[in-house]
Amino acid sequence: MKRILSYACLGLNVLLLFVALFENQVQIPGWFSFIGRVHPLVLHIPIGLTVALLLFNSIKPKVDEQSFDIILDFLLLVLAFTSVLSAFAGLVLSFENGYDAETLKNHKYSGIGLSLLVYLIYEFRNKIFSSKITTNFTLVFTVAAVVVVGHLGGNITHGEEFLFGEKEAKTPETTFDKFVCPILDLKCKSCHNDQKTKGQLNMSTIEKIKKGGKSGKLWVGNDTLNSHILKRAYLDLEDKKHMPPKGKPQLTAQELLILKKWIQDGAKYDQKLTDLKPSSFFYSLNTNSEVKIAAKSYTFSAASESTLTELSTPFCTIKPIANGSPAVKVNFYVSSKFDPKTLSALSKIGEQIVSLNLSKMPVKDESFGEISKFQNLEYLNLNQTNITGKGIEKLKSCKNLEVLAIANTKISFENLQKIMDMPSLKEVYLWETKFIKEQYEQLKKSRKRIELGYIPDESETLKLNPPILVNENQILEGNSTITLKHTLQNVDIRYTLDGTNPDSSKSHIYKSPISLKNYGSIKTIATKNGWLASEIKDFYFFKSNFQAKSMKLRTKPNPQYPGNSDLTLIDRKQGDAVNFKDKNWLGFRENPMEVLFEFEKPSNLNGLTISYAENTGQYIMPPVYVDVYIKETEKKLIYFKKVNVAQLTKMTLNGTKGIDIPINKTNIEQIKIIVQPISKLPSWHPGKGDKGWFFVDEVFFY
Amino acid sequence: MENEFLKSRLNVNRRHFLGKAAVGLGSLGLGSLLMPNLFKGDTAEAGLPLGLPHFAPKAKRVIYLFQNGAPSQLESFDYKPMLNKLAGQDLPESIRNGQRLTGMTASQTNFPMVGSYFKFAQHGKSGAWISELFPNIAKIADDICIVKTMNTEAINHDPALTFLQTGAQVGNRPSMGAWLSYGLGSENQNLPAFCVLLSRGRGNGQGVYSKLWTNGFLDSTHQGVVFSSGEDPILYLNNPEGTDKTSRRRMLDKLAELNHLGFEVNRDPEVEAKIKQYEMAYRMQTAVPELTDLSKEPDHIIKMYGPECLVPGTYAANALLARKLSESGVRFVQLYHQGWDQHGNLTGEMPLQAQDVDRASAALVTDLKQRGLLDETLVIWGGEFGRTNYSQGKFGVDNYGRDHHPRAYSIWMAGGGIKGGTVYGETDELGYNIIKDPVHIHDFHATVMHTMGLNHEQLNYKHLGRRYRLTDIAGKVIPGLLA
Repeated sequence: MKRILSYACLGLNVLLLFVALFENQVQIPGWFSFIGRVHPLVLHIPIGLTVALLLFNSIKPKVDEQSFDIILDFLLLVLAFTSVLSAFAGLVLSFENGYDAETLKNHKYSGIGLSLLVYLIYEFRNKIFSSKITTNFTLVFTVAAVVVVGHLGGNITHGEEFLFGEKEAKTPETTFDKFVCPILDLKCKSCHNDQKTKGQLNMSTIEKIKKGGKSGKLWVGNDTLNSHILKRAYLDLEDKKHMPPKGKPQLTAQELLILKKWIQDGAKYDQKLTDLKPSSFFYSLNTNSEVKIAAKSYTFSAASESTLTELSTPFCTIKPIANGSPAVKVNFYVSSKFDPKTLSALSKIGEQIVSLNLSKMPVKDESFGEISKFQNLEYLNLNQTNITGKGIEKLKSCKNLEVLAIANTKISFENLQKIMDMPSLKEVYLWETKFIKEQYEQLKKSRKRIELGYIPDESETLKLNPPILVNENQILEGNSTITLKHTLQNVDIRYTLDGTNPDSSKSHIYKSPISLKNYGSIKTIATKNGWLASEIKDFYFFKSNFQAKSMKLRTKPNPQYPGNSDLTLIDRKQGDAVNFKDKNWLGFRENPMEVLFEFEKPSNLNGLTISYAENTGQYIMPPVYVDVYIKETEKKLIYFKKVNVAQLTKMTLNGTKGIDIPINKTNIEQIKIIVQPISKLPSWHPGKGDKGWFFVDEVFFY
Repeated sequence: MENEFLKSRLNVNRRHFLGKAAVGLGSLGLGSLLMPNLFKGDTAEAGLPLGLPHFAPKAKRVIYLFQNGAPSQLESFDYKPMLNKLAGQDLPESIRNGQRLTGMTASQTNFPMVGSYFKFAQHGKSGAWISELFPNIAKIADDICIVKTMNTEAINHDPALTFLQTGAQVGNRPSMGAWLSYGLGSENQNLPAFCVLLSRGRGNGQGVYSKLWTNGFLDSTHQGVVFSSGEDPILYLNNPEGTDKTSRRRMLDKLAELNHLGFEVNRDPEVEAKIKQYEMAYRMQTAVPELTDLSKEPDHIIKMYGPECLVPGTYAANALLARKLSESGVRFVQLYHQGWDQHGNLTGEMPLQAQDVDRASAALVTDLKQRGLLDETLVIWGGEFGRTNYSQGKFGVDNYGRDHHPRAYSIWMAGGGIKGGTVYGETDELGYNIIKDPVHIHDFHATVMHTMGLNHEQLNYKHLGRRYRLTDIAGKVIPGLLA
């Protein structure tokens, strides 16, 4: 065994030297690459053994000589064998591409040297280990050599900066270094580097990138269409010229975008991150990195929890600004419950208050004295209070006051001027303070943020909102009438009943409630001086004088929309015009609707109105026609007439409409109607050719 | 003898024990130097005190202007001229890349791309592209941060809405407002911490349900209170006829006494919640009339919000009420404006929808700003997902519809610690996929909580054996949105 190993050592070392000398001519067969791959595994054995040898030597006095020699022999042999094995495997591995040539060379030759050295030590072990000096020297030298070779190897796999890298890693300063370079590193450099320079393109340094490759420069500033790198990236994946090649990690959409934007911006290598404009793409890319919690720290101590509870009322909320913070914010609510004593009592926590909101409270100028005691106040809201600013200069003792909101108050310009020189003050809210223009200009000079808020644009003419229907629903029972109103003062409501559009000058002006004889629409418009007339608003009214006793459906509605009871069509409850799932709706699609109504006693009918839904987006359309059958007293149920329904010609807004059918007959006991849904949607409809729906919520009789 | 054995064994054991323990503990100590937080204990486990922000917040209140139904980003804030150039062409499969379709377009054989019918222009210092449908929002471009890369997982309204409001697509979790109320408590004890205002546009609408403002498993005091859209925003707030204030007070005191007795017996926390709610309702009797009183507002406030702000139940009226509620310390005001679901007739409906909200939304931001309140109020404007870059149904440059699109859509935020005057994120040239800085719903939640001074990982509630958060097990704060 020992002999075999020692011979193997010799043989392998010779082979190693041979291959190393003629490496240019070597061709490694594919299956052989397996040997190379074991290098990272095997190499750790000789390292461990070298250390073991050193330690073993240190206990020499405690071991009897014979045993020592046997073990030493054994250790040295195994060391020599694993070293050469590892060196050989490493050499095979080196034939694979992708390693930095310089680092690789150092490691390769030193590794081979080490293997030979160890073998020689094994061969001359008797001479070396006979004297203490040579022993120690050899061992120390070997350990040192192992460390050096190992380190060089480590540089290859972990990079040269791995061991001492932290100090040297520099933060990128340009858009190129921060955003573009990492993409090239990740997706391009494995084939375009100093060692492997496909297409004569080398991306290892900026200079080499600028040079470009066989097909020319990588990019042209401001010209994304003629930038080679983008052309290649946008080629079809199957195209031979597509980059990165099929099978390699591809550029993501975001990476492509970054390249594109950088080229668009002129492909500037020296664009500093600090010089970016806030509106630029890279600015937002650069700042979107970390979540910052900017917590202000306060030097004062927190007030006790019991004090906060004691001072709080349902109308005055006192809370720390955050968990663990000594700073407190105070908000007052409900002006009719405002108690000045609560405000004065706050002096107990005067040091802790940083935010005070007194908006809408009946606070007067006298309160400035109390407020000014809160030395750490940063935010003060006095909007819509009764202050005029007398004594406002007391606030100067609040050295940290940053925000002052005094919108919608009667503060005087002179008084406000007294505190505009406060250095801490940053923002002043002055909307609705009735200063004149020159005064605002003067205030703006203070270089503070002065917020004036909304100032109505006198030249802008607004459109009125349409009239509002006061009736709760659109059913007119008996003699009930239509009442309209408008929310603004002095508005004229004009209307028509004949279906024509109302006019802002000629149409009837609404003065008193309107009554209708049968189903009909009323078109309304609101007008007022200085305003644009409102949109026209239609209201449809259903007249209902009689109620049928029962309804019998002869055909079944679609099971999804079965209505809510046996009386759905005669309960005088209409469906929600927008929500077709409302249970007041019956939905028909496959079948026509056939329904028979019976009256309690023979009735004289002027007509009937079928109330249906129009929701074109949901395929809910007017039906095609209605067949009416009538049974008069002592007669049979006979066909009365057919009514064709006007069809739509375009998409419309959702709403409830009526089909009015005049009858004018007496002593009616039963009425049957058959309503045919549209079987093919018209060509202008998105669902053309499909079946349409017929949705009905009520049938009214008058 | 036996004794000595025992002794010696003990000695050896003790020596061994102490020796080894010293080395072992020493090593542990050494190791712990590398892990500074090892022995600090789990803060989430210990639970931070409720009712206070975890750190000093930028925003103290939220107003969420929810555009229900999903307004199209392509006609509002995400300008894609390429779509106009390619109008009518089929969306390449490589772009759609397996995106799940809704039942409404799944059977469509081709997906003709369509560009915005409405014109865009750049506004503000950031040069943000805003469509002509929103002229007033364009005027406040320097105050808002447009996020173009919101993305969600759901493709239908209900799950998407529920996801955006509660952090989960199934509806049993507390809503955002409920979480904030739970975490931060109320500022003003005379009003609910979480209020909901509903309005309806003229476009194709989708329903809203109470599960969107639910307290979920949290105490029911955190539930959103819906204001009525009628003349009387809060129903049954007045004392019934014949009952004066004193007798109402005495009745409530007696009722509380009885409730306390009940609580002693069954220990149901809901009883305590009820007592609190009765007390608050009593105080609301004074607080609410002050709120709804417009007499102290200057006249031109009407011009600012538009004349509709006087009509109860309109978006404009709700926006004005939202400002008043927020100003009065309501932690979370949630508006829903329905009607943004333009599957068809987008060119007809969207202008009407925009008209409803444009002026009032911009007015709200300006109004908060002029009162010095914008810095501490976070305003959010947006829907539950986006709309497709291709037309649903028949295609025409001036008449088209758009289906639901979850991969990228736009919202805007203003105030409360958000970096105004910026545009965040980018979508590809066809407006279909995100190419830079995505903001997932969970990230959005984490960021909103961050502006409110809450660490989204530390505000949790133990329920059915595990801890829940608004962001559940995901979400990261997006620093690029923060000022």
